[in-house]
Amino acid sequence: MAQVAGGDSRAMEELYARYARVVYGLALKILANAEHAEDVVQETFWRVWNRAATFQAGSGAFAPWLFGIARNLCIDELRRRQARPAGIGGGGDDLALAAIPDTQPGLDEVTWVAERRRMITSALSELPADQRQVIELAYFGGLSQREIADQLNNPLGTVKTRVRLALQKLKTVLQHQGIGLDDR
Amino acid sequence: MNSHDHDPAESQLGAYALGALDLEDRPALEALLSESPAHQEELRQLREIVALLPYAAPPATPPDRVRERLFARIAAAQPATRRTAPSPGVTAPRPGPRWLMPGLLAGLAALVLVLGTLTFSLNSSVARLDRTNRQLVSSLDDIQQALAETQARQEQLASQLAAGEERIAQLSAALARDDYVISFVSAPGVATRQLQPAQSGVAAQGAMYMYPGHSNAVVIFSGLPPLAPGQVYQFWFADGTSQVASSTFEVDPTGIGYIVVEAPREVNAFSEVMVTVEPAGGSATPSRTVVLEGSL
Repeated sequence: MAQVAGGDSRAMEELYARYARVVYGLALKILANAEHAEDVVQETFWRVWNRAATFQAGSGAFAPWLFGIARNLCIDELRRRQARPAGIGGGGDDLALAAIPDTQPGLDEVTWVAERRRMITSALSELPADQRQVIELAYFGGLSQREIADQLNNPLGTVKTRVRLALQKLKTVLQHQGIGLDDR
Repeated sequence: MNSHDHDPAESQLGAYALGALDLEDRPALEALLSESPAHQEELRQLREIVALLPYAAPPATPPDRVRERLFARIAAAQPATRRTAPSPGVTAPRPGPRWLMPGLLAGLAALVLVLGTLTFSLNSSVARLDRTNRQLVSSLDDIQQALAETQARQEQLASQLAAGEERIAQLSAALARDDYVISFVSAPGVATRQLQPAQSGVAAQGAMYMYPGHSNAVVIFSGLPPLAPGQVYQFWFADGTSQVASSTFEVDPTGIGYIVVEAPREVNAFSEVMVTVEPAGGSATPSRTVVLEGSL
């Protein structure tokens, strides 16, 4: 990141090569629109390029920062549209994150992306369905806890408890797997 | 209002990391975070967990035009000096002796070329092995499925074969029995005795074929009405003092049937024979329902 902050476009190309597929996949899932997802990818890396100097490695890993930018762009787009992508929430649909198929398993099997995907899908599969659902609606649907409670017609306290338990469970499972996020 | 609405701020760290915290819950949590390094660290860890969620979405390669536009934008915005100047904080290497430079550069170029070729070769090999592996796995699945189908078909045929063999054995036994009866009744010296209805108005009759001095006999019946379920006809030998139970039998829908009987001694030692209706399995003593009777 220091090289990117220093204006090294080759370092930026390396970042792009490493994360673009994940960012694009995330944007496609949230927005369900390829054209908008492409815009999100471009804008995300453009902001990384421009704000690299403001990123402080000591405050956390690079991936949360990068994905936070991408997700915020997606949620902004969602709210701008005043619509939700098909499959996010509504009618009690549970997209079953752990069952999402990988579009290119043959190639991903030899990449660290595939390894992380395997770990997170495995961890998600250990969550009860109602906890997976609130994670899905919060992260990929961009809903707040109160909005989730309204949509599911559940008490707000129940939704808060599910979110808290889900994150705790994910943390326990992933730390047990020894995963680290020291991506720079 | 649920009591959970008043959860401590720290329980909202997960929602905060997810970006799902409602506006009204933010002040309390942010006040807590500003005072507690421990909660700051917890939030950092939760954000790293949340940062794994994008990997749950199927990764997809964006079109090349996205990358091209991005780097064109970067190049357009980059000052000329920034494009060529070394990165801040990176110390420029001290130049070596001038005569070393051409050789060093050539060596580095060769090394890069070799490493690049090696990487490309390895990537190609991995991809090729992956394709081959997938083909083999697919072929193996096909073979296993075909084998399972063949085994199921084989078991079905074996079952049909066993049933066919059993039927053939039954037919062979019946045929052998018929041959025996035909040869028995048509042999020279055979004696015949008639069995007549014991009650008037019955059209049934029987013919007993025997050889004086022998214990075997064949009896052929006709006109016997089919019996109710649980009943059979039974053949009896009798002399002046006792009645001896012999074979039980049934008749076909036309009322015809036959039996091969073996008396406890030569048949001409008995004076009478008869046919009664008995419960299935036969009886030790005859019932009162005598259908046919005859004198020997």
